[in-house]
Amino acid sequence: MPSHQYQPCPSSKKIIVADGSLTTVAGQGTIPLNPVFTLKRVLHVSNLTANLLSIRKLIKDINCSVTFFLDHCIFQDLATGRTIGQARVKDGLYMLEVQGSSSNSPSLSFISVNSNKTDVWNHHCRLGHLSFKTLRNMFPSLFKNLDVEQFHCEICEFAKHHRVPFPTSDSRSVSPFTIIHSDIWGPYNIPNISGAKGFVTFINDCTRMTWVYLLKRKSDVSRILPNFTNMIRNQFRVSIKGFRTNNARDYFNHITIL
Amino acid sequence: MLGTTLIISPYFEKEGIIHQSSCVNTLQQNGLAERKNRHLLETTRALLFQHQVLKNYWGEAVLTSMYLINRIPSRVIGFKSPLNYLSEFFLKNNFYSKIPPRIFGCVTYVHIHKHQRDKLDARALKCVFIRYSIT
Repeated sequence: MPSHQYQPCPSSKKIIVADGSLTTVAGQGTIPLNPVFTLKRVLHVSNLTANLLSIRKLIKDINCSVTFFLDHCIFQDLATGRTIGQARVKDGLYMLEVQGSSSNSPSLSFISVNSNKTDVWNHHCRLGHLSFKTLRNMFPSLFKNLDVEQFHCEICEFAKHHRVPFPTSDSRSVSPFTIIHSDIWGPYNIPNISGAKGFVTFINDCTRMTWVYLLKRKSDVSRILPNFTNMIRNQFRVSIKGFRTNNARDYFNHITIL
Repeated sequence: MLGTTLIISPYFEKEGIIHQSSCVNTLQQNGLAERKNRHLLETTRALLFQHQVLKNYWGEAVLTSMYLINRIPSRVIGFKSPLNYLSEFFLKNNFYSKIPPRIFGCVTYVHIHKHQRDKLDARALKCVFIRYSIT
């Protein structure tokens, strides 16, 4: 590939390659691929077998966007929206297609997607700490030999921590009125025509039969509750054995919590 | 239930009812009641929007929702309605009304009894239906 403005570099200039070792940079230059697609500050490293392209640097230099698809990727000019270049997947790598060169000889390739933990981490951070599962769906080739379980991001723990889902209870009492579930709704800012501002529900665990009583204020519950238990006792000749609620303080003014 | 608090209140102590209260800020432990409330409110909103009933009739709408939900088959109890299921346990109890359902907010004509009208008075009063009778 002809390089314009090629300048040799002093031997002290080195880059760190993927395995952590240092490699000498022979020179630096600019490669114009087409009038709008110019690669600036290309480093000439003779030890590398593939030519690598930094997407980050490219986006910064020529103001474009890069969209990755399963088998190809597209470079678009951000100002005009025009496609200025594209790359196709070959052997797990996106190979940049250069006009004028035959596609069989990969004159320039870049590793944007490689089965490498660092790349997964880079993508994770670049995409705003996207979950590793979604990342795997987007770039399956990134996770060739890697498992989602291997990645644990502390920032994600701080930012997205959730409670463990509650186990669903499938136990249901076999006879009516063993357990009554209850909840209070309100107060609602618009009073009902009767003046009520909320309601209390009593749900029979076994049959899911529901009773609703309108409340003018929350303290009405302590009056309604005895009425309700009396009604159940008279109508059904059974007494309630258990009562399950959300916040006991709504139900009684004087309580002792064990 | 795991992690719930046992509450002793004078009333329940007298009645011998065990009161389980969920932990602080843990609505999930009262899941059944919370879900029932959601179902009630969803139905209530639908009832109110259907005929553009004013918001201050929400209480009537909630009671109508309760009436309807108790009479609609539910999956968790094997597609029986709560009322039917309850009556399986108490065969002799015929306490709840079985009025055919009406649209919430529809026009109804209430019969005026003989002693309340003379021969040429209207025989019915035009009303808006807003809830079912409790009994």
